[in-house]
Amino acid sequence: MSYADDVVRIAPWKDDRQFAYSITYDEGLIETLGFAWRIHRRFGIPGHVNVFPGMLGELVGDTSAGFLQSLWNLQKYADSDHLQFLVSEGWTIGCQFHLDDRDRPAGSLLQARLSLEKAIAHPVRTLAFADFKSCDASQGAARDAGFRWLFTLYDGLNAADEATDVVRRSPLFHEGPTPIRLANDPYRLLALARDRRGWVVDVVRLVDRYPVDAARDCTPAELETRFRAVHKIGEDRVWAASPEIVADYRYLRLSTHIRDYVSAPHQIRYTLAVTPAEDRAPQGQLTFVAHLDTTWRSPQATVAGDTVPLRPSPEPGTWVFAHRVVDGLEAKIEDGSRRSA
Amino acid sequence: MSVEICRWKHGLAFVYSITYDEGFADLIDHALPIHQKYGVPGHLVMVAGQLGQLRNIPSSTYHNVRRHLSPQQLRDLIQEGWSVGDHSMTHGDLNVDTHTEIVLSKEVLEEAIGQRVNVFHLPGADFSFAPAARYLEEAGFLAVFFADDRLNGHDPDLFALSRTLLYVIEGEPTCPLYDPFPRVYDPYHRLHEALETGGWIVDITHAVEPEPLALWKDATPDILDARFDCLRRVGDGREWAAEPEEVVDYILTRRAASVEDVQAEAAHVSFRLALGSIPRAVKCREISVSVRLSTVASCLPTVSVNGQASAEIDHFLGNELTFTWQADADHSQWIEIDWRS
Repeated sequence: MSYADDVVRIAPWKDDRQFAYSITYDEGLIETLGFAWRIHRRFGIPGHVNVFPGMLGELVGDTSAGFLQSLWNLQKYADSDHLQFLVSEGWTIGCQFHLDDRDRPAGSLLQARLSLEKAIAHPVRTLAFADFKSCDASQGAARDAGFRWLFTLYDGLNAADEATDVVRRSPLFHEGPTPIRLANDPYRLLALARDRRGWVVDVVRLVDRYPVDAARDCTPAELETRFRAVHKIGEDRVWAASPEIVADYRYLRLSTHIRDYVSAPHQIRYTLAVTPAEDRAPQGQLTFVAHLDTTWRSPQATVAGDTVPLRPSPEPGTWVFAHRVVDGLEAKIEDGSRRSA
Repeated sequence: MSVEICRWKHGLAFVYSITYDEGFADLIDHALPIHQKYGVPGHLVMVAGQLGQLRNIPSSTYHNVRRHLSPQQLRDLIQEGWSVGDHSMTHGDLNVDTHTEIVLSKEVLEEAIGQRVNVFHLPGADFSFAPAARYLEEAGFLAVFFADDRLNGHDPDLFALSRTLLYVIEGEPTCPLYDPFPRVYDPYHRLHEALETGGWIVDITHAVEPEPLALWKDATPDILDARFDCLRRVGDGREWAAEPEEVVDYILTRRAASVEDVQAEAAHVSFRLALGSIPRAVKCREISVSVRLSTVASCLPTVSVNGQASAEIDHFLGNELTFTWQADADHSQWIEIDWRS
């Protein structure tokens, strides 16, 4: 870590929150969304739903797959109106990888993405896999089809410093698969994420009072309990956001570095270097944390000539501010009280 | 002024126990030092027919490679505060030779350790339970443990107690039967839930060694250390770390106890603790009572049981007093509390 990192650093997560939490819904079953969105709204947690682009608004109609599948046939997939409503609620929408796509070329996935974009009139950037093996096998095709983020099934944390486009998702279920029968754990990974400044992404399929597949579905009460646990562990230190937004932030942060750091009495200057790891220019806003001399009474930040507000952090001498990030952008922090004197 | 029998001994908020199925001798090197470091007693779940022997169960992961603790080693660990549970005679299906697996195994173990064995842990998958269930209580067991990942409540069915897995798994599944998807162990598993609800966590693991054989059911010393560290940090003095026999004893004693004839005067409270039927197998009949005094005591109150100062004061703060003593199942006991206000 350089001296500059000691004084000004980029926060691992937005607003310098301790950890991040996201939740995704696979398949976009309308019953799921009917129960879930109100709970999301109440807890202020935006969701993300993955859908089969060719099945919007249709009944789940595969009658060839036995008893369990026939229970799913009572369900219906969300249509484009439902999805646009969710977008208006701050949700994001992605494509669901269909097992039939395993052997398809990237062109098929591209077609799926474009079809969904047309249906919801919104960019589609994520592809979700219901199992880790499909994700491992089809990552290349998914990238070729223009998917920016790939969601897999992996019950573990995502790290803030992980430069990857594959996002791990932890199943939130009523009761895990046999024979060990993992039970629903409303606190799963949350305290660990807090300790390690990580990112938890849940995945659930059906939210209904009577889960069809206990290992993939949960009840509305279990979803509520999960969100309560997120707030209980996180308090005001959790960043609950759509996984697309969190993944964008992480990528932008890992692509951005502070260079040409200059320190003078009562003034600090630095320049940003944005060097994307891949051929995709990141853009957006990052949160910065400045550890300043406690004698600074009125720190002010100026970025590319514009004043940026700083807010004090609970830690003495620590200030948090956010601004857009562009390669070569110059920033300055100075003690306003000294300047006016 | 109120007098209440405490949910858990010493008035603590929740309970933590850990059990080691099979009771391998390596625990002495790799687990015992961590138990001593954190002050957590362990519980050994023994296959009675193979004490001190190299494991001889061809279907087992540990066949011919791990040795079970010997009777002398078990007695040494009991001196450390550990306890022993029954895991059948052969680790076989209980319904094949129920008398041997349940009744004779208990006798063999009791002979080996020189004391009663009160708890039984189902070997293999829990499916072997149902038809043999009626014999467990007849054989004199006080409690039966499953492995279904749930938190036990504060007043559980003692013949359907749950245990939660403590394991290593990090990364892709190594045993598809037990690992439906990649997952990591969460050392906070169920701790916040237990604190919130006043429950009882019982962990289950097998071998503890730096390079475990079975990642889905063994632990490393590091994982065990992390688990106990999380226990102590979340508990923060509110956790009762106890071996499961003692917890079962407390539950049975508490269920048989009632507070009667409460009398309060200035600087003096007395009540009678009546005890109903307690199974003879219960080894420890300690009971904890919490008293909220009507006035703030300026000095530590004195507690006497049948005229003798035999109670241990657990907590005293202002007007709240918690104390524990050995209850006598055959007689009512008069408790008197005196303090200067």
